[in-house]
Amino acid sequence: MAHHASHSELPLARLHRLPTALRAASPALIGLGGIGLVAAVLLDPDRGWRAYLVNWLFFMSVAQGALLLAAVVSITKGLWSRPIRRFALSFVGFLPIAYLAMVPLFIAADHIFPWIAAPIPGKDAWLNVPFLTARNLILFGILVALDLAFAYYALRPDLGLIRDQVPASLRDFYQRLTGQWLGQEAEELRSHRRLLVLGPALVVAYALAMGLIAWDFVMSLEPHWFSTLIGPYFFMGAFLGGVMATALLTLLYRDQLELEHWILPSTLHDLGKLGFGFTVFWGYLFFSQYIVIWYGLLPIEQAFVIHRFTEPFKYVAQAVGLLLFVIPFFGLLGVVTKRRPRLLATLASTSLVGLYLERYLLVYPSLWIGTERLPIGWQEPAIALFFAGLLLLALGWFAHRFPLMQLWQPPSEIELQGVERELAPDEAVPER
Amino acid sequence: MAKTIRSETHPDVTGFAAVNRDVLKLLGKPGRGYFVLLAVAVAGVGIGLLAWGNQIVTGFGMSGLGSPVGWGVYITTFVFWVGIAHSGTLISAVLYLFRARWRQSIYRTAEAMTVFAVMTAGLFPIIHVGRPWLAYYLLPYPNQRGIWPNFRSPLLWDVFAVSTYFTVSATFFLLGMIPDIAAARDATTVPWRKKLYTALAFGWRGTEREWRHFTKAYLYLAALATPLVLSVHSVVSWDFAMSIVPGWHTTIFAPYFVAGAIFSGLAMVITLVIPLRKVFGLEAYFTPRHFDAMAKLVLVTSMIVFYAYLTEFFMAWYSFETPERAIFWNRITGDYWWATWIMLTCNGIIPMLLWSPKIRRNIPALFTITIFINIGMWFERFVIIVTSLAHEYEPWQWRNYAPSPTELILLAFSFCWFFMWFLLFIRLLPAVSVAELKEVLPPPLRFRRREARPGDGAEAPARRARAGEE
Repeated sequence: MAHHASHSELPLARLHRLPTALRAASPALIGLGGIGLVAAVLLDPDRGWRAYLVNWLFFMSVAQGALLLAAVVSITKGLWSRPIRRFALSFVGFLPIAYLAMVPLFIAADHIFPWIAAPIPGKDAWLNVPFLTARNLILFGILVALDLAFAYYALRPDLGLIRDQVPASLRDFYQRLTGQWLGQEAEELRSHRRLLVLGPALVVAYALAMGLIAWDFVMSLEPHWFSTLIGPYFFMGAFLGGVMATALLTLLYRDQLELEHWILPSTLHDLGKLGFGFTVFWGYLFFSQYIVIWYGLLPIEQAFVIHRFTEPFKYVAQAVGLLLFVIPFFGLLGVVTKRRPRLLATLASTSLVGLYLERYLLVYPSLWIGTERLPIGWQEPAIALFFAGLLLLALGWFAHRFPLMQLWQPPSEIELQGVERELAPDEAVPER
Repeated sequence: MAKTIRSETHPDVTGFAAVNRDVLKLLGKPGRGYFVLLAVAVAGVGIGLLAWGNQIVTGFGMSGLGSPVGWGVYITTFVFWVGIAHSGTLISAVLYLFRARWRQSIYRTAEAMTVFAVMTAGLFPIIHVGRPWLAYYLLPYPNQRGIWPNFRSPLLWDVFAVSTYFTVSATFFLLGMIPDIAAARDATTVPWRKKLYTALAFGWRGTEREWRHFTKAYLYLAALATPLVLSVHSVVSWDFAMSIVPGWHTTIFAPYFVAGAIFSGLAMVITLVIPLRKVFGLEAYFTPRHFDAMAKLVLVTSMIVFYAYLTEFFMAWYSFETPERAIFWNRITGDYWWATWIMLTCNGIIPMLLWSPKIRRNIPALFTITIFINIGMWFERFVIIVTSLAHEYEPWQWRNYAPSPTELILLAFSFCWFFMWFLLFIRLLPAVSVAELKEVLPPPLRFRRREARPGDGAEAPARRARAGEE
């Protein structure tokens, strides 16, 4: 296949150029956050485990959302995404960690789920710990397995391509991952075929597993409340977080690894558009859920909203509206902010902070009904540091091992590029 | 690569001249089959108007509606056609923004369908109000009655949503056609056609300045039309969800209706394009690749809709609310079980066949599947509307509803009315975009085309580097 000719041009970038401070950051964060986590859990188990849940939901959402982005651009053959799709994929390292980090939630279920202390008659067929544990571990396990399989086949052709160029320390690792090598072309074809199945399967599993997590870890915290939209609302928010986190990571790597020639303003523009589009979509889903509840005036539905829109949580709700919707909406409306790295990074960070508070708002008001003081203290940020350290660890692990740009190209995209070539043959491109 | 470079999306279209010939051929003299179809459609419209007149004169008792089922076939048909209207804007605006190039040959037909589907849908609330001469009460204007419509009523939001949608989609449709109409204007010799095209071409000469403005306007309209894809059917769904009728009052309704609308609209585009391509010999323009892409979208939206169905059933059970549970149990086992199962089978199960790439590219199979989807989506609205109303909170109030002959005639009328416009459209206006098709074809050059170089495929990043620094 002719397209291999340009491999040497693509940067086989690893993070050795990243400042050592950043490398040292993840153990430091895990250590510091870990102490915070232990302290929080020992001092006040209820508070500690609930803060753990919020942080788990946020970091899991972002990483899983980024994986969904990687799968979606592969399914839709989004050529624009070629320089950045590996960044989205690099969140995959965090997902097995997120899976393991889910287990303590079941062990500490007494401190989290109100329906254990005060069971709801009849609902215990669904709301009981063994079934809760089993269904979530199985469904989320399938999703994580698909994530890993997707990442494996997306990476494998590249691993074979560069396995002779990698440093000696990685040789073994590459040999293991490229076992039973069929040859470059056959591998590309096989990966392409596998991804055609794994991509859609991942999307379906994402909707089902993340929808279930929304039912179990958000909706059931207020056991009388129900909303058919909570699942899609939760997982589309996670997707928005994935897009924004990918944008942030792209900007970081672009800056640190000097990828300006590969990641052009037009790519940032496209990422910004995606972020804008899903910000609007998040707003739409929020409104769709809210207006039905507001208009219906049914006490059983409204309780959930009232707990969030009254003192003391209403300040958090206002911050979420501002950070997750208003600022990114107006910020990303224009062209300039999408193409300027600093501005885009600022807006993406704003949106991620907003999403963190939104996940907080989905959990805490259900568990502190009637409280007068806003339960935000040292516990939440400390545990956030712990998870952020794990996420950095996973991202660093990926970046030190795998090429950060996709070298091979699936046949379907080469075909599409043929179309693009004909659309703009050299002869027809106007000089600017 | 062969000597003549061929378009990847339209490998069998040989060049610019072929496009002009094949597309403008649609505007030429049609065969007898066309007039037979048109006559059937016009006759159907005539019969429908008679039935409507009869209902007006005799009274609304001609319909099967009453208490408690005050909404029946008319509103079902209204929602159905509003749903059909969604694919046009999706294909022409959303896919345009997503730079999905395969939309080029399909989008004109889809847009036309959108406009006619809204025109069909718009009739049904007027039929449904019973006294159509009072329909202007819906319009908010300061008047001597001193009565304003109730702005808190979702029915009024509907008036705004649907009329906005009609305005924008019609503008988009007419604007996008300008360069093509100008081409038709220059080609035609029939005097009345010349007049029509001259008016609709707005003096288009095809200068560079005009193209620049045209492209800008198209982009902005696409961006403005995109939120409408979401808003219109959301508002329609809130006609139901704002009430507290069990089975209606549920938060997922807005996105679920939107997905259902796109689902049914795309199915209808496929249903219409397949005969069109056959009759006019446009196989080179609507290739299996287009059908494949559309079928994938149908599959995605089918799964969203099916997810919503299952979520509703689960949530009814989980809620432990007796009326919620009763209504969903009644849907699958009650008097209307057959309608519910038609809906579940046609919308959730049959489209699963589209997982197979072979079926997605098999035209007869696709035609059959999309017919099932059209049926299923009509029944979906029927199930939502009728089963909920027939089985509300008070058992003494429960009463089943059966459509009267008048209602069924008017349902048939809606199809005839829609097809009448559609048939007139393909004869009067270019049903395939000439200008945009040419964009995806290799342009004719003054010099011999260079052979494609080896390694072109991998040059994308480098070329991007050049193109991006604009």
